[in-house]
Amino acid sequence: MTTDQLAAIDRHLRKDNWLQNEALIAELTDHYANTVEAAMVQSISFELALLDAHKAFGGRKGLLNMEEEYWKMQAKNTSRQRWERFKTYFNRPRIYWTIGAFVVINFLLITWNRAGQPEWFSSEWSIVGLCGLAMCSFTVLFITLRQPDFFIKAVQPGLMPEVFLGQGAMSLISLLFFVQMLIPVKTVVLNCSPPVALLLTLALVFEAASMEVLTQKPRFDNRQTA
Amino acid sequence: MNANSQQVLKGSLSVIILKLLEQRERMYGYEITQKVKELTAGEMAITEGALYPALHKLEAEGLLTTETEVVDGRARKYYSLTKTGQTEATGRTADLLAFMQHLQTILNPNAFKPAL
Repeated sequence: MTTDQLAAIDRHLRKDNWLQNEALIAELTDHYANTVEAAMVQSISFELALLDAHKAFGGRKGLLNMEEEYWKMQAKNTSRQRWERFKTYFNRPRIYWTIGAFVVINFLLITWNRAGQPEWFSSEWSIVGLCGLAMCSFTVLFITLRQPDFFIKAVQPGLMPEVFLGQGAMSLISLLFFVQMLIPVKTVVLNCSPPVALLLTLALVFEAASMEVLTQKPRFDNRQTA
Repeated sequence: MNANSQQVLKGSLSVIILKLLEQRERMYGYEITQKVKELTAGEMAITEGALYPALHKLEAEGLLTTETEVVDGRARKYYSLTKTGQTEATGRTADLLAFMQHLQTILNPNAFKPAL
C-alpha cells in the first residue's frame, strides 16, 4: 500500500466520515488497509475496494455510532482502571503510603489553629488557599515524576483538558468543603480531626489513582514488523 | 449467511473472540474476521460494525488488553486476554455450549429420546 493510498484512507475516515478519535482512526486505518490490500490482490481497484470496506462498517452512520460507543467504552475503561488503582492503595505495600498520608494530614489538622498561630494563618481562607496550593503542587509533582515531558509535549493528544478538568473539579470540592458557609470549618477540624483527615486522605489517594491512569503511556511495541 | 444467522452470531460474538484469543495469544481485528471465515469455510462472516464495538466492550470490561505495533508503516492494535479474560473465556464457552445443547433438545427432541 502506497503512502498516498494510506493518506486517502485517513482522509476518508477523518474528512469524509467525520471521525475524531485518534486511537479509533488508527485502528480502522489498519483494518481498511488490510481489506483494500486483499481486494487489490484480486484486481479490484483501490476506490472500489475502499467503498466495499466502508459498506462493511455500515457507512458513515455505522462509523459514527462506533465512535460514539468507543468514547463511552474508553470512559468506562478509565474509570475501571482508576478503581483498580485506588484499591491498590489499601493493600501492601502501598497501604504504608496511605497510612503515612493519614498521619501527616491528621497531624497538620491537629496543630492547625493551635499553639498561638497568627490570625491570618488560622483563618478558614488560609486553609482553603493552602489546600488548593497543596493539591496543585501534588498534581504537578506527580505528573512530572511519571512523565517528565508531559508538560512539554502532550503524549496523548486531548489529555490535558481532561487532567485540568479533573483538577478543577477536585479543587472545587476542596473549596466547598472548607468554605464556612457549608461547614463550620474550625469547629469540625478542632473537634473531629481524624474523620476529616480520613476524608482528605481518601481524596488524595483518589487523585493519585486518577493521575496514574491519566498519565500512563499506551502499551507500544517498538518492533517494526515488515 | 442470512439475517437470522447474523443475529445468532452477534449474540455469541464475545465468546468467539475470547475463544480465538485463548488459542492464539494475540490477534488484531482484521485477523479475527479472517480467522472466523477460515474456520467456517466462509459460512460465517463477522461484520466489522459488530466486531470492533465487541472488542472495545471486552477491553473496557478488563477482559482484553491491547498493545500497538508498527506494521508496514501503520499502527496495528493487538488484543490479548487478561487473567480475568482467560477465566471468563472458559466460563462463557461452557455456558454457550450448555445453551446450545438445551436448544438442540428443544428444536430436535426426537434425536435425544432414549431408546426403548
